[in-house]
Amino acid sequence: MGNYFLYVTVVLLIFIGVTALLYKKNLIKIVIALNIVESGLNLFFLTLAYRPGGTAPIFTLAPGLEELKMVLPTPQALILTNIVIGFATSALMLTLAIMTYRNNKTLDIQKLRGVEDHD
Amino acid sequence: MKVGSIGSFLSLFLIVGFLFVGISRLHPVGEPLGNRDVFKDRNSLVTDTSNVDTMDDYFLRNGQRETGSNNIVASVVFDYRAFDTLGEATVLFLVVSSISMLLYTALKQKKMVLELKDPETGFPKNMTRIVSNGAYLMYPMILAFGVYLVAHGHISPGGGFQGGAVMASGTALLLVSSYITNHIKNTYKIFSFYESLGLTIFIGLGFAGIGVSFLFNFLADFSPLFLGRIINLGPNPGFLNSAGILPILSLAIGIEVFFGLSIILVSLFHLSRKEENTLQKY
Amino acid sequence: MIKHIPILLIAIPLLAAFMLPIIGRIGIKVRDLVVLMVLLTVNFLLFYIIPEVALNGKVMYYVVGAVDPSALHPESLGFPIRIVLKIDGFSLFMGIISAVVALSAFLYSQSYIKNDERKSYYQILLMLMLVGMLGLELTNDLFNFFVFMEVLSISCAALVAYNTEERHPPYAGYKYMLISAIATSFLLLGIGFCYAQYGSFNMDYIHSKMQHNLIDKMAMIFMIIPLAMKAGAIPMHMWVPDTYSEAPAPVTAMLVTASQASLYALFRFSFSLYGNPVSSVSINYNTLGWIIITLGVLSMFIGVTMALVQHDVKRLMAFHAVSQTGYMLLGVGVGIAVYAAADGGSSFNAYGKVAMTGGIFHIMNHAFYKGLLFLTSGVIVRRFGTRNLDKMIGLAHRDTFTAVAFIIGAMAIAGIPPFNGFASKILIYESVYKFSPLLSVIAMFVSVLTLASFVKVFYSAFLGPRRDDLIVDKSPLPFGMKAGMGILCVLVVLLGLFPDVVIETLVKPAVSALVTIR
Repeated sequence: MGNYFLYVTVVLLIFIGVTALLYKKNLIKIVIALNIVESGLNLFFLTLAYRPGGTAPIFTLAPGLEELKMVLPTPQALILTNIVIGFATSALMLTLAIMTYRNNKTLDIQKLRGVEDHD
Repeated sequence: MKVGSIGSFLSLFLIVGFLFVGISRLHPVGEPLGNRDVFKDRNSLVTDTSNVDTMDDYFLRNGQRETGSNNIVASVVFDYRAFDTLGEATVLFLVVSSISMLLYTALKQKKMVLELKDPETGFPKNMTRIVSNGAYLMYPMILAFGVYLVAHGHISPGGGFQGGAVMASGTALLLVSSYITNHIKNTYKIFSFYESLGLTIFIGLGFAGIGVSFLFNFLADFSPLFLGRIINLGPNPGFLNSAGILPILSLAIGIEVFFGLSIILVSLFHLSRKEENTLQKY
Repeated sequence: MIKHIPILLIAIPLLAAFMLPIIGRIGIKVRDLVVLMVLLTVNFLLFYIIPEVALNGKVMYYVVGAVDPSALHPESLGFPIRIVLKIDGFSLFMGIISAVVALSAFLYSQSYIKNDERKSYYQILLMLMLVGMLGLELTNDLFNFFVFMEVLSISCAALVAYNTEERHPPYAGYKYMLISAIATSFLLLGIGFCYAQYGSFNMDYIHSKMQHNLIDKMAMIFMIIPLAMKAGAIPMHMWVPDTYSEAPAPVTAMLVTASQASLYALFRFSFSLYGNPVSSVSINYNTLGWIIITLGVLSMFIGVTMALVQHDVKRLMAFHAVSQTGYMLLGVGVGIAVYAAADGGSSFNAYGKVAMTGGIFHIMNHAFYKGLLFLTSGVIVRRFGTRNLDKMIGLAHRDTFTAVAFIIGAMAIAGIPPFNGFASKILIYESVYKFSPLLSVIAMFVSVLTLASFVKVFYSAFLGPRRDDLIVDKSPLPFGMKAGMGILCVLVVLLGLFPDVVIETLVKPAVSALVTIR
């Protein structure tokens, strides 16, 4: 089962993230929990690309052609895109949280719950 | 939005259960789909498809010859799947526009705060010497490192996104150390112009090859003088003058990321500065 | 040039959106003209390829960045390397809906949104919403789908919070962004499982190599539940009323179309990615069909009952959006449930196909009449300065145009002939009755309740004595708002009077693109 250590880490990260997402009440902590889930997802893709003993898929100063073994390049492109998208999501959510705080003077989702039923 | 505790506990349990079942049936770590002998019998002048079982095998075997770049991840990001990179750059542009739009009225209402400045260094008065001199020393080096990463994206690990992020950390350094947000209106105008410019270069290069198809790497085999150098398979010391339109796309993305992230940092920082009546005016 | 149309549909609005900050400095009229020309071009291109794609049944492929854009595989290789865009009947159908609603929303927001410096950003975000929707609908690549879905989610969330100085819109935008981020994260997990199994992201390749083992079924759950969450189906519908009511009116019309795009993706994944009509080792279609039918019926019922007790006009309409989504799920669910029935396809040909036609036609009708209703609600809210129905009375004396538009929309949603809601609902009633009479009776009862709640709204807002002291905004109705509502009114009436034209041209090719054999 030592082979599956990375996958178990992924599941643990997603579990921690989703638990925090469901049970935390502060708007900023929810954003942090979402970041943890995204990190778990990035680790998942990284694990899919792994080959033990492989080098990065870059030919500059690579080992000779006989013993060349490279990890897969496509999941790395995905992870790049996912990191940027995760950053964008967090930036937007934090800005909206700032504006919620300015308008309502609270960041607690239970105090904000009565906000929608107005008039 | 936080459903009753039974619902949340049940959904959590289900998600984790499904994930554990899933990972027990996936391929073991370290044995992805793909041919192990993907580099066998490789003729370095043509692209061929022997020993190629999956998409990644094709990239590893033929990526260097077809696109001319040493960095296969960069060739995947900027050539084979360049449309995803366009979408990602769009997301970044989108978020910068959104934050500018949302914070517009809040920033307009903020009165400019002129902090007490030390006349000789120009830094706020309670900053130590280490911070002020260190920031002045570090900022050009950070920018240079970022430009190096952007320019060498097709030879070594790097590329537009990574280099742009490093350059934006230079902006963060300046903000944290010297609070320069006094000229925010001009900052917005200049930075958003360059950000749009970067993206327009990207999509303009995409349209430039529209005779063949969108985002076609038309400089890859064009001429050895202008980014079209033929690269043989195998290790080589890395040539800057290669890889078709990849360096130009990388540069465009680097410009966009740097200016975009700087706008976000500057607006959020300016929003959080204290109002006029709590600090002494100069 | 025709072979480049798939990429032009996405790249032209994208280029315009990128250059809009620079163009906006030149002048306001130039900027508005550029956006209008781009939207008209997108509409024109989409209508131009109707004969080729829909009537002849040809599928347009476009490989982005290849030497030959229509060659799917490189020579001597069995699978595609690059990103492939694909336009078939169903994508074209959804694309037309998105483009037409975007044009109406833009014309409406010309006059509705004040002309301050934030308006450039508003138009950028509106165009990027259209780009996200079109990219989602035209792509054949899983990761590209994910990227465009993120573009759509972020632009929607930012536009929901457009009125930043009020108390509730930023929090509504936050909740929408949170729901979208969770949904897309789990979607990416499903995509990762698919990639681990097959080594490629291309939907057609995965469909041809699909093995339907346990991981694939789990990947399907991880991909379909987030899409249902984003489409606003029960039990994940809690974000719909809050978000739809706090957004400005034209943005809400586009949000309806964005939810339809998620519904499109749900159907696309369950049919084109996981569908396999002849093999019996695939997923149990009867079970899947009944699950979707149950979700549909629950959505219909809960949506309309919660709508009856609302005092807020936009929240009421948002609950009706949830309820109408139930109709689409019901129609397509009945189609799925008899898809692989044991009688060799006769029941599917008899009424399953009609049910799916009804469900899919309802997507178009719903986008049009719901968009129209939200645009009229924008006028109502603008006039009275509040969304509370108890404080409104007698608008029909001042705004006859809006009253007529509202009547058209309300009769369409209740399924009264000769408007388009009737055309799709009659298809659903007939076919679902042959499947199970009880479901059809529930659907008709929900229609009656829908009519009741809209009669209530019309009575509160439009009828009654003319009370000028309650009117906040007394200016006459600007031309842009009239144009936006007018386009949708005309479409609602035309689709109701001549549904056969649209069904033969657009909906039947869509259904046959989804259902491969039989």
